[in-house]
Amino acid sequence: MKEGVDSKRLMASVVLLERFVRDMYTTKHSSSIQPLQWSILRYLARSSADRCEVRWIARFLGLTRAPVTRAIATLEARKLVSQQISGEDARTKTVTLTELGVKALAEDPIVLAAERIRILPEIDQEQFVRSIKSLALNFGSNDLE
Amino acid sequence: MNNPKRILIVEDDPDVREMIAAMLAQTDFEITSVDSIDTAMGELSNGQSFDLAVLDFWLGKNHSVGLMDSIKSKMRDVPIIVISGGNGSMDLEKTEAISDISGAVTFLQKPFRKADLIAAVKSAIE
Repeated sequence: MKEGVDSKRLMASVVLLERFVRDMYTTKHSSSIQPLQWSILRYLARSSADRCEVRWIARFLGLTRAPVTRAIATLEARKLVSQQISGEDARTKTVTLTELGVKALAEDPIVLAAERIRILPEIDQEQFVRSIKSLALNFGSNDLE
Repeated sequence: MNNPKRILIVEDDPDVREMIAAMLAQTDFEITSVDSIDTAMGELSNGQSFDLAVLDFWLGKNHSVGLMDSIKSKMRDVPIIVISGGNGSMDLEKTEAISDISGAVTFLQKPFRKADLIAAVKSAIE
């Protein structure tokens, strides 16, 4: 029989992990920005302009263009990003963070989550990082989603 | 005169490997380029030391996280630049996050520009 943590404890831990992440996205400041939209805002914040087109964003996130285009349209409607026709190709648009978008990123849920983990003793922080890395390497494949 | 900085390049695609070496050859770096994790591990086991490593995240079907861990355990302060175009089964957002956890200083998405690589190398070394 395979040894390991008791199933009940393991399941309870996953419940808490799921709640920990979900709670980050339901704070009063961030409830209206969805996880995919946050990923796009983060990408735009640290990518050069020539990589801020839908095709590059979709490639980075492992998605088709359609959901990314929809998410960007929502962000644009909320004035968090703007789109300009690319200088090189009139069919292509470059997506840029607006001032409001930059401001929103200051309340990024993963920053809040990281701050909460940072409060833990160093040994627990290290164990958390090691466990997440191991989980991602073993089950990080998009094929499983 | 200072000794040239030594850079280890690990990339399994021969065209990309040669292109990276050519991009960096115009600077004053001494380049060692290899095509596999095993060969890179051999370089490390032979006591070779490097000032910087440029690694492709996917080397064939294998990821280079174990290699990153080995580099960090032998040469704790050596900066690592990870490059990747993805492999179809793991998106680049996850690939970059795993690279960051493993100690990468910069993640470059393929194809990248020469200016971006050189800027990343200079920023890592200086």
